Amino acid sequence: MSAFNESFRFGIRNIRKRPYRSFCLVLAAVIGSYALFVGLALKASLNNGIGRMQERMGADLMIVPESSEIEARNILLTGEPEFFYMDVAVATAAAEIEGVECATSQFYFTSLSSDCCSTRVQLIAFDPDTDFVIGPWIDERVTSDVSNGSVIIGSEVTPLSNGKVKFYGNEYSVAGKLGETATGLDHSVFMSRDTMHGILNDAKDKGYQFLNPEDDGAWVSTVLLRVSDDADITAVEKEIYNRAGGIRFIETDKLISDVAVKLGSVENIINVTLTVLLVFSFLTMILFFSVIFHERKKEFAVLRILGTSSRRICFFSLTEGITIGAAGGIIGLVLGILTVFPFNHYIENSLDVPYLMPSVAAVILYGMIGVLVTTLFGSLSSFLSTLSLAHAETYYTMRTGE
Amino acid sequence: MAFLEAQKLVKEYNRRGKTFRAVDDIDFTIEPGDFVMIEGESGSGKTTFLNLLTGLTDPTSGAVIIDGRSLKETGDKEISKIRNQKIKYIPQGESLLSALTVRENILFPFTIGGLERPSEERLLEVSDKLGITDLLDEYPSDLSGGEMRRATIARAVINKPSLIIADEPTGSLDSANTFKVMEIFRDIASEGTAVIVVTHQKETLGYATRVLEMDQGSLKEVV
Repeated sequence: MSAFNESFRFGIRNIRKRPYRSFCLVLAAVIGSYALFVGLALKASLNNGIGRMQERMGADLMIVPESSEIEARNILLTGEPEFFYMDVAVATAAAEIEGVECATSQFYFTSLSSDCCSTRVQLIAFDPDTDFVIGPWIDERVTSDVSNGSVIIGSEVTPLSNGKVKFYGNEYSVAGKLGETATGLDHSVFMSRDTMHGILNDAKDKGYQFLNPEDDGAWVSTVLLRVSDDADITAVEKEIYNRAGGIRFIETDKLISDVAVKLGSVENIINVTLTVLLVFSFLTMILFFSVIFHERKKEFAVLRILGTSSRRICFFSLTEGITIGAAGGIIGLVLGILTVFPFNHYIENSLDVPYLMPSVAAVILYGMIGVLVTTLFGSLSSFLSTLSLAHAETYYTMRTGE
Repeated sequence: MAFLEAQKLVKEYNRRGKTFRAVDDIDFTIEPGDFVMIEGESGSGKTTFLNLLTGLTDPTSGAVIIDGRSLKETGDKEISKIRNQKIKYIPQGESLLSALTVRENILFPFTIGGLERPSEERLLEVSDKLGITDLLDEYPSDLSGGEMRRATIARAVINKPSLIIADEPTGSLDSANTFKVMEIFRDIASEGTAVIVVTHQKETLGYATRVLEMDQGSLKEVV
């Protein structure tokens, strides 16, 4: 039997012989591994979220009606369906300002959570001729034409069993599903203005009127602008405001930095919690191993008497530490996976910031880090607890262990 | 040639700032087949002396030479190997490993030493002599003090080592078992194993080929 097998077997026998203490040690390792995995996965999801949000925003500036800034932010950040309108003249005026490279408008309305609709989602009509925000993103996944009454759904929108979505009594085929953006747009459905016109008519027939469909072309919900690099964004805002009052500007950079501040607070909470739990896990393991090994002083003395070297005794206890750390690490990882994945949406909604789960490779990496760290905790705490005993004079260890 | 030799062995301890000698300038030798018994009052230094002989305690001065090699010049790994293969030490009190059965305890030195295990016949022969055959698959927590003691003795004698050192091995045994153990020691000594036994039981002294007395750290020949 190799030294490793023999140490492992002896370690396992000792672990099984003291089930309550072993359970407490494994629990400490579970807490460490769970905290590390969940903490790393949450942090990565938050960073992915804001990164993807930054990527997908496309516009530098968003113009919304004066009283609708909060609603507009909600659409972008949480996907809470909203509608608000302003005169289309804002779009025309903004497009003419010097320094504005691109301008496009969007029209927001909502579906209902009643029988007439699949679910309550944000409906967004855009102009494919001027669009520079959604287009590049649509091109990644959607190849069929969206102008013929079909729609594109966000990554979190689930179609009916027949693959269609239903709004105000009519079903619409799904031309494609967008990739995750980690923003409220994942809960939105996109369409051309022609399709929007038909849905608004259906809504009116059902008694829900957002605007009179006959003059929906006179209104927009938001105007999105891309400003040239050399332009002063504040000057552009001022110029637009002078030409079309009653509006509010949302700067994408400001929006992202606001989100980043909020995300920073959430990350701080995660970091503090993670640190506290890791320290608790490590200290608990050291404490338990010290108590256990102190009570097993006599056993170590017997091992010395039987011809076990000090180094070998450290190896025996190291095996126990590694086994407990690894077992707790794996259990913590499984519990972490069972928390992070099934409760993904709940976490996203609770945190109220862009949230995008990391890739499978990253999840595997975090899992490995969790298990490695608790295995290291186990081995280090058992090793440190044994060190003094292994080198103590056997006679005294034997006597004090009695 | 002596298997074990102690030369001017001294062990000093510090107690409340005062140095006292637990073992005081002892010269001692034991040859294969010797059965030495050491008697003496409690606190006279017997256990310290045995710990010095097995390399479990370092002497303040002097040397222990086993098989021609001074322990002072031998590393922990090598001394451990000597304890595992050549010297079997039966300490005072219980010394079975609680996580292992009696059988596993008896065979454990072979496991850690990577040695060939004794045959089942040998295991049963020793167990029968000590009356623990029915207890081989029990854990130490299920045994009485006397049963544990006999299991410890079985672990020491099973591979007929070069030297057995026993510190009050029959302390918790009744007289029948005490004499049984002494007979085992005498038999094993007759086969060439050197045996050192510390005892307070004067009725067992007759088994020894030499009897020594320990008094305030010094050793003197009685018989």
